[in-house]
Amino acid sequence: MTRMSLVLSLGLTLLAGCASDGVLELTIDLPLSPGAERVFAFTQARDATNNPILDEWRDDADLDGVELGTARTEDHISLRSARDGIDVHVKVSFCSTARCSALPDANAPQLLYTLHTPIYVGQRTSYTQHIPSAPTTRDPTVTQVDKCDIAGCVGGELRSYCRADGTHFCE
Amino acid sequence: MRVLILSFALTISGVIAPLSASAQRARPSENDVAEARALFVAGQAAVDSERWADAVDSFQRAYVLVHAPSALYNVAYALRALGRHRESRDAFERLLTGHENLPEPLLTESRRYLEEERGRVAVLMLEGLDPDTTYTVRLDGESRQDDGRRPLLAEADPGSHTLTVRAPGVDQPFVWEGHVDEGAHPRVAVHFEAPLRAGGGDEPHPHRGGVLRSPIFWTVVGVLVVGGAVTAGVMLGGGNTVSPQSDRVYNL
Repeated sequence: MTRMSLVLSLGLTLLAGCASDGVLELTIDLPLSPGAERVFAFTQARDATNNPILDEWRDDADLDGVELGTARTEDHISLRSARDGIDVHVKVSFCSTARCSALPDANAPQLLYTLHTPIYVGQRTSYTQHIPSAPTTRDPTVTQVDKCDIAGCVGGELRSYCRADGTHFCE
Repeated sequence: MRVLILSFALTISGVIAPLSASAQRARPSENDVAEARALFVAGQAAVDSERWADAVDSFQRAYVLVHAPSALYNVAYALRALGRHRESRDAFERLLTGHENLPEPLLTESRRYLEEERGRVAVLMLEGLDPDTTYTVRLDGESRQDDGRRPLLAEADPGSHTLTVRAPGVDQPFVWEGHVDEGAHPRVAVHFEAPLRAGGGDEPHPHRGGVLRSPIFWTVVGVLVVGGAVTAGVMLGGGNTVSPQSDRVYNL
């Protein structure tokens, strides 16, 4: 290795050491409004380790829901973390208010997801969750999203973002 | 349409349609006709049991032997049944341009199917390619020529495909996987993540005895690089090199 390489490596190492965040760009592809009444898709995301998905999450930091309309809409949310390798729980609730705060929203229809290892420090990843139609009941089933479905660290659109040995391209 | 394909198969013994001037060739021997007849029967059996790939093979071999337009028609028809619309279109075009005085209803049917098949072929439109660079393009492993047109067009049958584009001097290829519908013209934005290799990947060799061998020079460079790195880290907001694209952010 040349001296130039060594110096650059040192600089890059320092920079990498400063790169403390990774971001998942999450897109929720939302369905049409199911009826005449207003419906908001209220999306919450939490670190899976400390937030069991069946628990009720309440936090002022939650983002307002997106109102469903007569055309499909997308909710773009960035999930930022300084920790590598965490799993992320995501809830999408279909409520009558933007923050799911009305009394009838306590049992609002809800969809649950676990995103496995979607964030890599220093990298931008992306994932789109399609919701074909608004649910009518609260289903405790948790949809598992494999890390190989999380796009990032490679060009193009692939069916899998993992190498043949099962490691993600961002690993 | 199976009736039509079979009826043409049965005409082999009596019909060797005249070829166009450019496609004139020697009249097939008795043995060739006999073998072609057997291949027609095999192709017919394959069609009956919907083994279209086998039918293509039999009819193609029959066409090579006797050059009967009915054989080529059957090839094109079987390719169409297989969803190989590019090849089917090409076969119908070859039938209509390579044979004179096609009998009815073969002529009318061939024209109709040709138009139909033309409409079924999808075209990937590769955008973002440098017009002055020649790329190596493969669709499902099949090499496609970069003819310099931009956007670069790559024909495809409906279905799932894998496109790989390689640029000279770039290690990592662009890969696209997706599904295309019949007759669709999807745009594919080609971009490359990896930077160009400098000088074909070889590291530069400093001249002996130059400033590059000076310890003072490297000390200065080292201080500048490290200082720049730290400054950049601070300027990027507390060390975050990746910033959210959305203003709707969850910090986990």
